Amino acid sequence: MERRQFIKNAAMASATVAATRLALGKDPPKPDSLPPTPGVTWDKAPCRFCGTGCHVQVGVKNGKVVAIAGDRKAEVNKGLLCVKGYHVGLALYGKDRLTRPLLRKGDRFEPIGWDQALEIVARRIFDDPEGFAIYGSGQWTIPEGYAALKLVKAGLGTNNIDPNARLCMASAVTGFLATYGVDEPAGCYDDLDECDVLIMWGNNPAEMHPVLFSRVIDRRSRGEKVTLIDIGTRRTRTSEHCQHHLLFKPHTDIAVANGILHLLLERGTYDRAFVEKHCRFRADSDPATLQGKEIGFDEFKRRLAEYTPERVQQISGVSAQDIRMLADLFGRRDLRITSLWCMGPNQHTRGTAINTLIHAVHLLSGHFGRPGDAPTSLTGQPSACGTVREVGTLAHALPGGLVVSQAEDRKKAEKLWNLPEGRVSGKPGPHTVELWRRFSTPKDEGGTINTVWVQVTNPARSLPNVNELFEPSRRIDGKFLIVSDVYPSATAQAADLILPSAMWVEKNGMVGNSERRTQQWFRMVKPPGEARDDAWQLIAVARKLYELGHPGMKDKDGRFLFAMEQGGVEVPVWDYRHYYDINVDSRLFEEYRTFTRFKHKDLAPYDEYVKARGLRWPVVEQPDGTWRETKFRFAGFDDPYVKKGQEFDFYHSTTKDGRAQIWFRPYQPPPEVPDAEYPFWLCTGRVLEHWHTGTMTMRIPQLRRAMPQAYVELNPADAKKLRVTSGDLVVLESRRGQLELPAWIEGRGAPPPGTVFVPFFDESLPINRVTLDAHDPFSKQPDYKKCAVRVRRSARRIARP
Amino acid sequence: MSTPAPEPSDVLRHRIWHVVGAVAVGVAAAGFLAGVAGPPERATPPRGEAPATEGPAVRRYSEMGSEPRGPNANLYERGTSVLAVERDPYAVVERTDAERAAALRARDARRAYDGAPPTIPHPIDQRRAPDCLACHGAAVQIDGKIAPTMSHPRYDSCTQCHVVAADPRPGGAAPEGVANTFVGTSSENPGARAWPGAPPTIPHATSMRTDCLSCHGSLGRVGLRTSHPWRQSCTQCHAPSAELDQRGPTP
Repeated sequence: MERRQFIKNAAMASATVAATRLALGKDPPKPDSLPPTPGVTWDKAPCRFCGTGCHVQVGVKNGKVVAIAGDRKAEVNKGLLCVKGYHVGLALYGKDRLTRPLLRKGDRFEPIGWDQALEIVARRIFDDPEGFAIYGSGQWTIPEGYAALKLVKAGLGTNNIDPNARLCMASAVTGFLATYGVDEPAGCYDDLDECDVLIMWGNNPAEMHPVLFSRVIDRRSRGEKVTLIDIGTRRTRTSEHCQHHLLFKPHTDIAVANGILHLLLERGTYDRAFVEKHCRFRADSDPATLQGKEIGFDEFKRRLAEYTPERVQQISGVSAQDIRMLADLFGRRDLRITSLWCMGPNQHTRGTAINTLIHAVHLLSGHFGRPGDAPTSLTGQPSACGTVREVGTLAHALPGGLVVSQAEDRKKAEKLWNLPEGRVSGKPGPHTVELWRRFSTPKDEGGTINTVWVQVTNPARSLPNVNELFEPSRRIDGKFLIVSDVYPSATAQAADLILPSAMWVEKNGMVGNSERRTQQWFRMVKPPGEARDDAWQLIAVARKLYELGHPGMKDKDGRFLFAMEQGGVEVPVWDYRHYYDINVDSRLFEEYRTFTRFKHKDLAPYDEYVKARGLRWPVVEQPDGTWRETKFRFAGFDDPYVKKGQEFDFYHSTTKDGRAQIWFRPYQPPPEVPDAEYPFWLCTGRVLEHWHTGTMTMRIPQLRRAMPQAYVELNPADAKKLRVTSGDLVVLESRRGQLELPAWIEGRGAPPPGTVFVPFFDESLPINRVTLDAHDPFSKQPDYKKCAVRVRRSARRIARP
Repeated sequence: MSTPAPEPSDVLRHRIWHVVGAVAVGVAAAGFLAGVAGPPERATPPRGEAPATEGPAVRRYSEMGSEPRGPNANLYERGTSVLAVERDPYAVVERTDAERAAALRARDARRAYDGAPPTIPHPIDQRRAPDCLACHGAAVQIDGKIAPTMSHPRYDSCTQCHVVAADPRPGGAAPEGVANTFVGTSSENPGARAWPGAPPTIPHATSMRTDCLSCHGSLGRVGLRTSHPWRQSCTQCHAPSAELDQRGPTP
């Protein structure tokens, strides 16, 4: 026994040594009890970039962001990100962060103190409040946008505030308002998990909303059948994943939609029960208004009679067979169909029209309100919905969907803000294009805007036709440009005063994504140098105005507009040393939240968002005290505001009868079409790697190296005619301006003959010198997707390495 | 009886066999040594600064037959010999600390931080959904170049997260950009062991790294290869981190 035990023990021991050596390839090291990533703490935040609204986990060590991970608890992205999201932490660390306020002295900037900077801003406003405007952003956080709006509308008594989101989703807003009477999509991203057919209208989500796109195509990897249809003007990475790619001539998407409507009526395959119960029909009135005039079903059908598949093919270039294919799909009740769109239909001189038509196709065919059946517009900015559309940082709007033109709405706002009656002006301010036109026009020629404060955006590159809308302002005496930014963007470099800002996880924040999801995060690292929160900048300027004696900075009881107390003691949040004594974000949000009940856009208390990875409004309190989000608006099975027993109820109907409006919109030719002199269509847009004007992503090495410069995409046949090969410099010229840039043939996308494409991310190659500022009559959103240009090979050559 | 003297032709024949034999042995030895030696060591660049292109341009399937080029040009002619290399899956894998450190440095050079999607070290077709899985579906090694298998489940949109490391435009000559001072986490910490010889815990998140053999298999980087590739159930012994895998009460 002893011997056997000994042999067994010996065998065990040698096996252990062997195994140890096998496992390690060397002698075992000392025990190591360090956690996997010592010193790294993790916290949640929504990604800084697009409107998808992915959540990331931010890894922080020694006061710096050191790693990013997809948030596995986030419903939007389920742990996955795109290449921008994975590198979002690097956006904070470009070497040229702005760290001190800078005042222009001739051709250079001189560092000044914050107090002097605030004094300058406040003086400009105090001396000419009517001539002052704030130009904001869909990248503002919700509390920032709310503070800016309150400063202008409750404090200065003007409506001189508009955001860059005017350039990106204003037509979606007017589309929703004209159709449902209230803004924002009824569906949500859950539709992407349920749909049998996904139609992308002028949309390239494989590059622009990659996480949403892969959410759909990964279903196919799991063996599900999803039909993807790309209706676009150019072949993209999205097209490559689609079963159908329908190429239409720019601007003719309206004819395509009408072709579908025509066939649904002609064949009787529309959803008669849904339409009779829940819809009415409308068309443009004279003069045209957003509400238009009612037309009956018969009149609607009569007007659509001319849009036969053959006629639509003639207008759009999409084959009659493909139009029939689309109508066949919409005519089927056994399929779930989701439509996605973003800049294609929005940046359109008939943007409101095509937006209402996409809704019309879904409503007429009854593909609405069931999971997977939804017309869903996407946004490009992280808080275009949250800050712009919901807070209402627009020239005509008030928080929560109220509008300044309604006396009743103004009264509601004045009551909540505790203002004297009549403080809120009923006169809408200038919309974005008009605001910048007035800033770029001398005072005595009608240029009534003299001071613009830009926050979180880059109009010197993102406005259309910048040669006319932006550049002149820099040469006119008496015009003063204030820019709050984190990097010396083109706009900051053109400014008279630069204010250095904190960004993303350097401050508390809240944003709202494309599916009505409100998201929250906490400050995790400190901003560099003297960079400070945008909301603080607004409140500090308001305080300066209060000290200067501006009467608007007090409510009717004489209290400061942004007064905040803790335990009955006023906290001087305008002094940055005390800004984080309390959570200013939660104070501003709780105040804003009181506005959200009027239009059933209910938001939950701040603390609910701390716990969640975002909640989709309306978020309604339950009898047990919990808060429930709403995924499918207007649908009885999910939306608590639908009348009991109703399957659908459009409770903000413009006809006050719970019905949605199906619009007739005739095809009309675009304002500028290619001709003998300017024979090409120019389309502008984005690429996967870069976001907006690249001020952040171009400072992230992995993204910049993957796409370091703008280019012009040409069709190979056109390139041959122009004797241009990839890498050659070409000159692109419109009636407004010109730009020289390298050609890329068979590059990222493939434009059809007669069309060129240029991305707008590159600050050094500003394509908006060439684009058109013609805009939609209702939404005032300009059309960046089409104008006429000519193209020639440049005499210059690129110096190649 | 004396042995008859060999015929001159026989001598010649024997000599030829000696020569042939020597050549064969020499070639085999050279080949063996070359194989053992591996590619010459290069200085590893710092984090995120790997050379932009290390591999051949990815081509469309349609081009592959007509334009053979790069190290795979004669793949099919040489295919049988490549496949004939026998590997002993039970052979003991020796690793040194230096190899491990070199492997981690090389790994870091392709990533902004540990856990970031690596950049693509070769040109790809920018337009079409790339046929990444042709090489990265299962790891392949040809002529010392390894195309690792994906470490994560199959997703269809590879370019959503992985971008090329160099200007993809022909003749591109973009100006240098602004520098970035971000310093990401690196994958230096070895897993913790409860006692000497205990299996180490997994020192990184397992999200998007579910296929351990992508890095730790016999076609992973040399210093990261497991000593026991025949064992298939890695998490039987190596515990992942709840914190890194966001399974704990993270905020």
